[in-house]
Amino acid sequence: MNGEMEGRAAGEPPVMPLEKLTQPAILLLLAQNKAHGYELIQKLNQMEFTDGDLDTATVYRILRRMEQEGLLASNWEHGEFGPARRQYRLTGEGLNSLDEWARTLQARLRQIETFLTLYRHIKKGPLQNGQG
Amino acid sequence: MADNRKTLKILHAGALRKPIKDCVHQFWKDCPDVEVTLDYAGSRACAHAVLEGREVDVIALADPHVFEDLLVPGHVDVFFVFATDQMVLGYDEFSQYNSEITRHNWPDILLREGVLFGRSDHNLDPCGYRTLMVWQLAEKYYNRPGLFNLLNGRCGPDLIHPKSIDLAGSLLEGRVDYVFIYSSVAEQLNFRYVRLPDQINLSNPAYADEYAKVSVTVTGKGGGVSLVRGAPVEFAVAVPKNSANKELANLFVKTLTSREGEKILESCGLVPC
Repeated sequence: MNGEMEGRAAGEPPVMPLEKLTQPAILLLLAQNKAHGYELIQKLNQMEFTDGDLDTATVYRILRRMEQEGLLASNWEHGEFGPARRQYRLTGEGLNSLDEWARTLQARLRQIETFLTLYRHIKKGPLQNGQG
Repeated sequence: MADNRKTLKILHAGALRKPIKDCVHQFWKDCPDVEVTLDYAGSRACAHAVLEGREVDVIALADPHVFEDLLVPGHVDVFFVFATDQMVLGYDEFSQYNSEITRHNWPDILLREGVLFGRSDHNLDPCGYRTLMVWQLAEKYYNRPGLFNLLNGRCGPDLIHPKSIDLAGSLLEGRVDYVFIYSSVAEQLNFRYVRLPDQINLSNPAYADEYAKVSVTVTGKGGGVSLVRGAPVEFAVAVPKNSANKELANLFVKTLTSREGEKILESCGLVPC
């Protein structure tokens, strides 16, 4: 869906589609440690590139889809007493996907840098709000 | 001739009525000869029934805290957190001022003269104490000191129902204009609803620390009191220690948490987790 620009009034800044980066962020988090959905949502919201509230239902739906695609595997994790939660871990296929994402984002970073270099040249100086 | 059919007894929170019924139909695909009995009440009432000796094979509740508070470790070892949800403000096309209500102005609409709104009983039903938590969080979020007391004062005993599903009935019958219920119940009954901000709707684990700053004191059947802290809405299921049909009960839990079970939960407006 290319709906990220829909409904935007003239003059409002464009919004980066957060969900698009959710999958690589989940892969990155699970490459460090296995985790259950509740914990992943907390960590995803702390990551700087998801600047806004991620919808809980959307994250759980992405986790299920990634598991069906073989990128993640899950099992019920619990102690002797207490709550059991579905815990996710990265598969070999998931690790390959993380590498792919890193290469894709690296290429995108070069495109963004090229864009900003040209932009600064046109504007003849650094950005007004100090970014970049 | 003696009837050798086995019976699976399921006791569940009222808010889980439809998903549990639908999962029983899925369960029957594998176990067509098993008789299933369903009974429901508010989650705390369900837990008290088990505490008083009622024998059930599966117990599904609207808050994992109820398991921790009342049933673990005496009656249940492990409980499975299988779905999440959020609190919403349900209404219908006949509710007063329904064309004006939004996620920003709902407290003002509810406090208008003549508007009636209901909640479930916080001593029996998690939806009841979650409603009181939403009001406390709203007071902070909207920076409206005194809002909790105003809302609580307007929602008298005649507007408080034992279970969230009864509360939904009172909206259907036009006895109230607005009800605080789960999003899934609103979806199942085709109610319109105001989706409240994540900061107050008890849906988002990212706000778990903020939710935990509010609490409600609940009184048990024997008069004992417990403090329940705010937390994201979750539903959990367990096989009690005294289940007479543990194998079948575990099979039902497996059905509920399977891919097919997840599809059923989603079709009922819940978020499988």
